Amino acid sequence: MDLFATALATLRAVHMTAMLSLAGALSFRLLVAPYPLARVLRPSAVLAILGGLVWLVLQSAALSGADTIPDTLAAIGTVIRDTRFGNVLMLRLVLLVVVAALAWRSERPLLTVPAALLAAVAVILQAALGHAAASGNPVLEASLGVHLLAASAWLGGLLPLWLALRTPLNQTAHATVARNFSLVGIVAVFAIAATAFEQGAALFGGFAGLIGTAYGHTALIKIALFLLLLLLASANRLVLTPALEQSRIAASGCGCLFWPRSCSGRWSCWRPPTSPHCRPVCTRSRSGPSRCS
Amino acid sequence: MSRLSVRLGLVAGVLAASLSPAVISRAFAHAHLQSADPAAGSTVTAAPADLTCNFTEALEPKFSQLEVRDASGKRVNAGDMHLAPGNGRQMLIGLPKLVAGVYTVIWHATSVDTHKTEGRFTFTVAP
Repeated sequence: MDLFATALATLRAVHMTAMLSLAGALSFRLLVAPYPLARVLRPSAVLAILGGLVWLVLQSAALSGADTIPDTLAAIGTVIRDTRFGNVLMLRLVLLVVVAALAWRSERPLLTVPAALLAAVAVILQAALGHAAASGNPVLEASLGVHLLAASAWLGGLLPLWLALRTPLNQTAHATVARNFSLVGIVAVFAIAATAFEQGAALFGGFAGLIGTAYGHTALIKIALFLLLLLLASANRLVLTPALEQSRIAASGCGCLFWPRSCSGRWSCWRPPTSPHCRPVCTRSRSGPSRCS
Repeated sequence: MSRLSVRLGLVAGVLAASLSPAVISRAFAHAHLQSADPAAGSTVTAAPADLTCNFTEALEPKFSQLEVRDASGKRVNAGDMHLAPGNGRQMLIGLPKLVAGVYTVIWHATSVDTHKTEGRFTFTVAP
């Protein structure tokens, strides 16, 4: 791969990774915990948009064979107007701008739902950009869309999960976050595995293709990494989450109950009146002073 | 426990980055010539009115090309390539009344996933 092709692949990777991070963070807020994620949402949105724009420029140069800036700029209009890549990427970039506008003030919970839905659409549009679209196989396109959506919910949720677990909340809150994320993860993993199997059957050309082609070798690496991630997820589900639950039970019942309310945008807490020594920590509340501070 | 979670998160994050579909799904799939009429390497007794090339993937017409050259290297096709109506995988190009001889077909295909391929083949007209 030459330098230009490497730059092109890198930009596409940056754009895709940032978009998956953006969609994953929003789905985390929606499905796992209404955690304030401006530190993830803002850079992800900016990187996804800028990465997409530069990808458009470089891809236009690659498609037209342009090697000067004027020729490249002239080709961009043709690519946007006359190619599926340009049509779909522009639609995605518009969606990402809207998502960024909605998610920039991440404290507004009512905006999380439309932002998450639009980000999901932006992710699914990849199925109309890549090989699945070129294959003309609608099942393959749908499969890739679900595959990427599940990947965004799971992989894109890892950074928010890490940030949430670093927050100095009590163990009950951490356990709730871990439990909710595990449920999302389980659904996502099954979706990823099922759609990967379908795509593999359609693209590898059987077992011989899996072990005898460069595409198959890359897929094998991806499968190995996927299995390693499954081990980590299993450790989270079967070891860490139960351990946190046990710690909560052992904490003399004075825990501040944290529970995510998807559209409320607040960390809800309560403190049993019989536990005056309990010192729950609430991080924020938009509707006034925290009830358990 | 929290530290362990954080460490697992870090490892998972690195793996997640390496698992990114954008990183993994490099351009392994391309539009390849599946069939042509006149077929590659064939000899036809009647001069064809047009040339048809079928590819394995849908094509971008603005960035795909098809041309026919005679034995001297002169371009002989009439007009430019266009895609068959309703079939994004089929390139068509009109031909004049070809005289006897060997003709070379040169194609450049860009599939809708932006991958580019190219190739050439010959056919012979021998009335």
